[in-house]
Amino acid sequence: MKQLGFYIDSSKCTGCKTCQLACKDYRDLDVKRSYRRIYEYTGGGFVQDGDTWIQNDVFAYYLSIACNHCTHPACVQACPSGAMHKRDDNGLVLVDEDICIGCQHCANACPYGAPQFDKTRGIMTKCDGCIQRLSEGKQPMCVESCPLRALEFGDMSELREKYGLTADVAPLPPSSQTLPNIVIKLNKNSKPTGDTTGFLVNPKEV
Amino acid sequence: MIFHEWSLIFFTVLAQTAVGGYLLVSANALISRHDEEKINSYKIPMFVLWALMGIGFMFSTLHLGSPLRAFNAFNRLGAAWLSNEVFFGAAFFAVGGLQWLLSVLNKGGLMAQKVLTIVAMLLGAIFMYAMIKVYMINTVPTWFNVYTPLSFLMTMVVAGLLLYQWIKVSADDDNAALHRYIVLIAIVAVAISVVVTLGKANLMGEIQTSITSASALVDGLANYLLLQVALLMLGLFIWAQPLISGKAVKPLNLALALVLVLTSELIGRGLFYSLHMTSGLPKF
Ligand code: SF4
Ligand code: SF4
Ligand code: SF4
Repeated sequence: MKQLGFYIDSSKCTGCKTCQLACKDYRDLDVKRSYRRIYEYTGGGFVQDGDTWIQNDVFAYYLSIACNHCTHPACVQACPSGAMHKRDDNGLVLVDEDICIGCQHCANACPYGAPQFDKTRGIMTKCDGCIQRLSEGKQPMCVESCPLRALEFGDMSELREKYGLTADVAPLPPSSQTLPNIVIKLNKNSKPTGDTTGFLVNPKEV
Repeated sequence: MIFHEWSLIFFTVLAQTAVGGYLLVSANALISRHDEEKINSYKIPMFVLWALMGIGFMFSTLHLGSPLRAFNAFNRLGAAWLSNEVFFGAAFFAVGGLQWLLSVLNKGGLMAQKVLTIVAMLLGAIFMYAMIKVYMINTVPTWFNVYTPLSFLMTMVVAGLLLYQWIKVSADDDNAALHRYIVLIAIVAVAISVVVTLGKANLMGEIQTSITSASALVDGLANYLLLQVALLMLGLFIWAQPLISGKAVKPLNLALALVLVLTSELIGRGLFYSLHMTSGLPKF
């Protein structure tokens, strides 16, 4: 079975949010909804040493996360209507907008904040891997927009062969929970999943 | 504010109260071998129970973004707990409601009513189990723990017991011994309920991910907990008051206690929903 997914290069990502905005523009999303979100994880501080303040393990890095089209999608498991479903042919996890009852239980279950509730239409929406563009032989909008070339999209077996298996890094959940289809190239500052030395700098932006 | 999920707060608390009350009233009727006439004499207070359940269901549909498609909630019956919850809830309402209707009309015979009662009791119990399972999601650490079943169960026991007693008194089928037993059980149940609330608060203090601490999710968490426990104690006090002062138990007295207990439960449930977090990134 084919499984599509993302490669996310956190060592290159500068947190510029071009991908997020390109997606918002292309998918015509309101202010509240973002199919792709950039999480800035920061920690450390300064300590006083005599008269000077010195840096004490100050770190910051960015993770650009959309939907990971998980192999064990918590959203699909929770959904009562079957609107949230995983496609057999390409492994994408999609919302059937004609079936969704807008109960938002998928959003309760997803540990990546991917489902984005559309208040005006009363239904759930989220990243669909730009399935329309894929059918036209194009890459997803977010991937094409990145000025740092920090995102890739494609067959997971190929991406994993090229870039390895890493899908665990703070502040993401343990990848064993949903088996996300992402490969992350870690930033040199990266902290492991479960790390509590940092915090999310931009909670209002995600 | 802890009431952003107000529709689900009302739905779950009212449903647990109604099912808890129904299980007790029905068990009582079966064990005491109530005849048709006796069952019929419960019709008005039992209407209140079904009204509570009905209001609960109304709230549950208000929660939906697309309520006109509510029937799609059954689509994954057997596969998703939310589908199971809606199905068994609706079935409980339908079968129990039918039994109530037969009791009002004095139709169908005792046997049919008994069968319907037993079926409704089973459906109600499965409904409650499914309701718990809906929230046992392993990616939600603040829900995926023993306090979800415990707190849901305690709502059923405490509020259900009080509703049961109110129904008995309103149906004029009460006596001093019954009140003594109920109040004794109530004291124990409320004590357990408080222990559960405090145990849960304690656990919340320990749940933390890279970017979320459960204890920081609700502003003034301690105050809400205090209010929740205080209202429960006050409710218990009014509940037990007739027994303490040796007066007759009146429906109004119990109704007041029920309002206090339900308010306490609604606050507790508000906290439950407000304490939602995931094992990773926050929901929208
Ligand atoms: S990232 Fe969330 S919404 Fe996407 S498939 Fe995984 S669990 Fe579902
Ligand atoms: S909001 Fe829609 S997609 Fe999400 S769980 Fe409910 S019915 Fe399924
Ligand atoms: S794949 Fe398409 S829908 Fe998904 S985040 Fe990228 S641009 Fe948005």
